[in-house]
Amino acid sequence: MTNIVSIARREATLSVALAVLYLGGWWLSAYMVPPTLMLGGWPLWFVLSCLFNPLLFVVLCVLMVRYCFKTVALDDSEPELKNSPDPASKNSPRPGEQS
Amino acid sequence: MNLELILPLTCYLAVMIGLGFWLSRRPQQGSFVQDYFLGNRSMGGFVLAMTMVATYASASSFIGGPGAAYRMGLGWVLLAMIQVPTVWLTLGVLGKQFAHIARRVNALTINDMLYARYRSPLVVILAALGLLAAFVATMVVQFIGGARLLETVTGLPYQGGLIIFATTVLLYTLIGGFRAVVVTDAIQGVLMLLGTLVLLAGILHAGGGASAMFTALAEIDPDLVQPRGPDGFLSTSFMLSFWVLVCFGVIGLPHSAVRCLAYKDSKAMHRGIIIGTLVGALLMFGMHFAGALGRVLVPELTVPDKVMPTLMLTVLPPIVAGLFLAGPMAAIMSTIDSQLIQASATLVKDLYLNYLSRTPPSPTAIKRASRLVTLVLGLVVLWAALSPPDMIIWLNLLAFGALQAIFFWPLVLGLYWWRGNATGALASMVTGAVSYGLLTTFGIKPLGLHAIVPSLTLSGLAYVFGSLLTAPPTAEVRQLFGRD
Repeated sequence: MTNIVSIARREATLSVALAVLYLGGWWLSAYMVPPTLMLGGWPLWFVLSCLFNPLLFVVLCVLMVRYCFKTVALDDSEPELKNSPDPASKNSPRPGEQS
Repeated sequence: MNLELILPLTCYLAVMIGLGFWLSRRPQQGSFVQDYFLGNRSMGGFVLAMTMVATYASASSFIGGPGAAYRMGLGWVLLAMIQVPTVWLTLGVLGKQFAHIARRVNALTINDMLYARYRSPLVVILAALGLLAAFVATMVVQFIGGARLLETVTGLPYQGGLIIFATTVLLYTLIGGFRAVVVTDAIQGVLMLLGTLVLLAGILHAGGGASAMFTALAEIDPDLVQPRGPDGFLSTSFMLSFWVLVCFGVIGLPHSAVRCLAYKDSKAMHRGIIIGTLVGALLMFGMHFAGALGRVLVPELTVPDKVMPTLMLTVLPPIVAGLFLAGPMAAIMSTIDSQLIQASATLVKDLYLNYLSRTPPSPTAIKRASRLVTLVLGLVVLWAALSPPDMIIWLNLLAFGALQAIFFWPLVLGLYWWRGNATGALASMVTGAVSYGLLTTFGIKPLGLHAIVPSLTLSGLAYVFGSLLTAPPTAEVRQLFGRD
């Protein structure tokens, strides 16, 4: 019970942190690059802030979800007790991860 | 009239209604209320992602957004990219905590959650009224947007377009309920994405490649390729306000938050975050980039809002254009349907079942009442859209920010700060609504910031002080949120 709360808290913090990082990247690439620089006919600031930065953060987001987010059983009030007979929670996955 | 355009559009609308029928015939799994308003918590990852994106990409981002990019150039694309984190933020912050508690207290709506957290009927009633007012206002604007689009493209008269459009949305929402809403959202999301990508490819092809188009843009006005836009319109405080309004504040939007109640399991949520972020980023980039580049191909538009339909007709063969015009239609429809279903849920579930009915009504009565309420709400909105009052645009601007000002802190702090209580929530909602209303009505912009920034600050302070000055929540509530 407290377990899922602390997991949720951690994941919420991670999500906000990633968004703040994105804000940083967005700001640097848009306003710190001289607006006259070009890259193959494209304005460099545009390539960095609207193409590269979002793509980078989509990848970071995938990594965050893959490696930091935990699969938990949502409808089981006590996910630690694996042997409680509860066929209803179909996807109660990998209980070992939750300790 | 253009038959080649109308035919694919009609087919598209017919398919949506058909889907509503088909989904309503599936055997019911839970109770009717849970099924109609929440699809029995059965959403998978892909559908979750698409419905988040589709709900979010409303008429404003498919018609107004590219229109603004047409005027402001690449700077507006930069502004649109602010929205990239929204899906991971909303699902990540509300996500598991919300879904978990919702299951424990069997919550179907945002107001159920608020009641479970604050145990105060007053909070629920205030929230319900705020929701209804804001949703009706935005739905009217979406209806107007949809009908105008049909008018521009097909030459149908405004009223005719409006009625066809409204009937379709109403029918499939009425019949299929939440399940139809999310499934059609998923299809509409895919269509939007395809439509945007095909259009962008068509534009780049017609304009002779990206670098040639950038040169042409710079010739029209060198500021169009600058991050600050023409006349420095996209100033720092303007951009920062948008960070609050369309990125961080979105966590507090009830119609995206309710989707956190409806997904199947945490795996679905994880996939939803990944797919939603990717699709959202592509969509936002594609739509606004297309609008900005459109300036080169159709430089003399008097109404910038028509840039998307005009571009489609210019660069794509008619039959393809007709199919992909369904894209903006889809964006509008998917926003209306989800607000419609939530407004009815608010009326039936939160107000009627909780406060007005003395004895629990029979299941058939609930069923009938739910559909009746959906229908009546739809008709009210349709009636308002038939002769749009001048206040409407103003109302729409108000609604998006007002919802955030009202719901943001009670939702977010309610989940993560055990000390928050009903007094704090009430204070925050009232402060948010009043300060936002006053600031926008009188056009006050402290430090050049949009009204949402000061009102969120004030309502946050109100929440904290209101809670700290009164008694902490009961042990029951604390235990629910992981505190003994």
